[in-house]
Amino acid sequence: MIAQLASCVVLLTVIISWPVVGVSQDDDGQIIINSASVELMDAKGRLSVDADITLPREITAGLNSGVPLEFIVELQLQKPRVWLPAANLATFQRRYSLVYYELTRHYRVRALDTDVSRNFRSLLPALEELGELRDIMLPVTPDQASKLSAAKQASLQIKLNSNALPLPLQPVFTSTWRLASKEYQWPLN
Amino acid sequence: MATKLNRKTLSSALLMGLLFLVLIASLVVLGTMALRLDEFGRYYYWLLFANGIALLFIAVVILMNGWRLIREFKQRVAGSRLTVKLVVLSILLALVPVTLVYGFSIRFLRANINSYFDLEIEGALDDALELSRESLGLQMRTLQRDTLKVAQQLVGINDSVAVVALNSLSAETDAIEMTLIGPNNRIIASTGLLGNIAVQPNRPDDDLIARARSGIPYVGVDPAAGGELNIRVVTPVFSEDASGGNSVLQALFPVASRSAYLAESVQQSYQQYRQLVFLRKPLILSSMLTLSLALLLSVMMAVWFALYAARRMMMPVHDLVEGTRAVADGNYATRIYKRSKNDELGYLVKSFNYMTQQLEQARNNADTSQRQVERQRAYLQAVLGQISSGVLTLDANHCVRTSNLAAVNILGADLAHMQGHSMLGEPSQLANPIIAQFVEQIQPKFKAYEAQDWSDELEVVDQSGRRYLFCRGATLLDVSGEPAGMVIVIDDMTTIISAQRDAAWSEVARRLAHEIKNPLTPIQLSAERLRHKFSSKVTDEDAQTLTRLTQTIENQVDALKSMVNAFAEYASAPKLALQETDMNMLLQEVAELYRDSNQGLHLELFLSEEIPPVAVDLPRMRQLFHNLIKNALEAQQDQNECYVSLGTRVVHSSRGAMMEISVKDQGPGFPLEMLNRLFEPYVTSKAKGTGLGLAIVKKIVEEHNGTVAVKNRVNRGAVAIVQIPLSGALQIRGDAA
Repeated sequence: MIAQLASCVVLLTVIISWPVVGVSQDDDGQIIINSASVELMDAKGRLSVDADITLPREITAGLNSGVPLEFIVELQLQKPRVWLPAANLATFQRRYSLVYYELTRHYRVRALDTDVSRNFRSLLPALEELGELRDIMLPVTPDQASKLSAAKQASLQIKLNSNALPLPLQPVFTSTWRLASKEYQWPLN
Repeated sequence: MATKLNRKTLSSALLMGLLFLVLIASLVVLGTMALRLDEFGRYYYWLLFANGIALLFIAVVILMNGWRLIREFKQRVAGSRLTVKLVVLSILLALVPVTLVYGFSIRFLRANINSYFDLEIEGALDDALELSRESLGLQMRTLQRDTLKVAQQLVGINDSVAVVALNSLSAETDAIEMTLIGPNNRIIASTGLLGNIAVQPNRPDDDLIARARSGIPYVGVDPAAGGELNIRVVTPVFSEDASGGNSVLQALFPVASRSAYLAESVQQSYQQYRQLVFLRKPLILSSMLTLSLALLLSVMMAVWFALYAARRMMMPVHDLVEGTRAVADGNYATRIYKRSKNDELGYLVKSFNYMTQQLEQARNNADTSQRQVERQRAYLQAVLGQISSGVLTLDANHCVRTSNLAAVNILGADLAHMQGHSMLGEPSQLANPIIAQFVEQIQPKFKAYEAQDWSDELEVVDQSGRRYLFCRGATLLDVSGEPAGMVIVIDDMTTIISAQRDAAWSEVARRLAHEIKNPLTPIQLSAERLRHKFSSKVTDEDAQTLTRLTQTIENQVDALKSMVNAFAEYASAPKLALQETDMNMLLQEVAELYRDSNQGLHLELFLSEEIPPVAVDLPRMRQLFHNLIKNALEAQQDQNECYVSLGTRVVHSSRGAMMEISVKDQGPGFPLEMLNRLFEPYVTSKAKGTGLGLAIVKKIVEEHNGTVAVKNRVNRGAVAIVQIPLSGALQIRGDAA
């Protein structure tokens, strides 16, 4: 009875994860945050990031096939606690899209929050543009501003927004299409 | 109970039906989502996961049901075999078409999706894209020439007036923006903003600037916001001073809206197509997954419904089998819950319930009748047990069926072992001699009277003597009037006959005493007077003869008087003069009279010290002891040694506490045929004697409300046993006082 139940669970798991497990991870796309800084002055914030973004071959193929990519730059301002995980005081998100135009053979990077875009004739400079963010304005609300003075550390993560991918590519358990940097943390002065 | 079970089954069916409906709806949504790429699909996997969990739950339910069915099958539960067959058949019926449909669906799915990506379509889209590029290329070449003219006119213009000159020249073209970049990569002049989007003049990439500065112009189409297209031209502005380096002019031109729209349309179509090509495999997999889930759901629905329907259909059959078993075990109160009303099974259940109801009613009636019979039987047994007549019932084969307690007492044997044995068998084979004699004497009655009633007096002899049994036989008839057995009523007449004889002898004795005693005295006196009167007148010889003869007459008259006195004593019923007497002492006194006067007598006394003083008539009781001891001695008169044993003790019988006096001898004992007549007058085994000794003993004992019995001892001799009630004697004394 238990063996039958277990086999059913395994079978169902295999069925559910079928579309994504089949994609092999044969290359090493990654996002590495080299440095980041945030300036908080007069209830305003500016974020600068230096990161290396490398896309796996599968994602590059998808991008060149017209699959739009969306990257999320997520910044959390935190207050460390003893024996407990740091308390999150404020979270800011900046979203960028990367699209390939076959007609003009351009890669277009667009800041979805500001709608500022830029075209690149190759992928590398487009990814460099995505990785080098300078003085990105952070929309601080009054409620957040009152808390920011207590922030002692910042945590940054850049990730590919899997929810924005076409449905068949959305990862369930693990997939090449799940691309994210490790959390980059640094103390605030 | 059955109603509760039915409700539970219906509730579970309703719940499962609802779950299946929800799953079907979610699968419809999944099927829709699988082919959509918008954000609605982000819930796809959640729905998929929820479906998986629900299917897992259903699978567990099915497995549990299946396991239960297998267990019932192994345990040979009623209806399980048919249920298994129905389930297997239903599953096969559902599985085959579903599998076929699934196989063809998968095939058509692959074929249809692959057909979307035909090479001709792909080629057409490539051509359309290339055509758009060519169309744009024509515009680009024209605009490049216009930009080159502007660049030539800017040669040699001072930076201070460059802005004015650039604006003037730009106005002559369709450029939306012209930017002049100096040799040091600094923007010298710009004609305006690109709409309201850019925060600064649209600056070309550094490699384009370097390329143009080296004399190679660039022209290209840039996608812009809102799906618009811009033509970017970057061309060198040659400086007159070669050492200073060339400036670069960039001009941005909008593509004509119609061309831009068409080009964008082609671009989007091409992009969507490429995207679909890229997503073809995952799309097929997603669709197959949805289809597989639908298949799984269909199969599970079929299996569960087969299990449910088979179980529900077989419930009445199961109930019927269980009910039949219960009825076979004698439980006629079994009723089956009627699950369905209008079908054949419902009719069967209704008939079964009617049958068990009838059976129960019949059994109740039979039980009532049996109880009545038992009560009547018990009543009859009680009545028969209380009557003094023995009653035997025989069946048609003359086998003993029943007997009452009186019959057992009369025949002196337990008749239980006779039940089932025919009374027509050989009497000598019967162990009990009384029953053997009884059977031997009534067998001729069976043959002689057959179905008629009869009566007769039988005689049987046992250790206590001859006994007289008055028997009446009556034929028992069954309901059809045929002989079905016989009832025999036995009355022990021994005591009555003995009492009748005693009464007759008493009357005889009284008359004899009266009739004989009266003439004896005159005879004796006459003989005395005859001797006195004539003895002196006759010769001596005659006188001697006369004296001898008259003496003989007197002696015989004395003897007759003694005999008449004895008869008178036997016949008389004097009033008892009771007085408390130490019976042990009385017995010792009487015994001492014989101890010394008889040579060779061994007299032993076994007297119980528990004997209380008993109220008796002392002279009569002394006579009783004399008679018994004399009787014992006379029985041994031919022996050199006489043994007489006297004993007293207290015994307890149904009549209460009794004093028992026993007198034993070692004589030859009494002949069996005399035993029950020993207490009659003139019945004696001795050559001499009046035969009134034991008759008087019996009379004295009965006057004291006691009993007397004489039996032969096992080895040698006889014993006379007298029992006198202790309390009864006192009562008599009270009456006498």
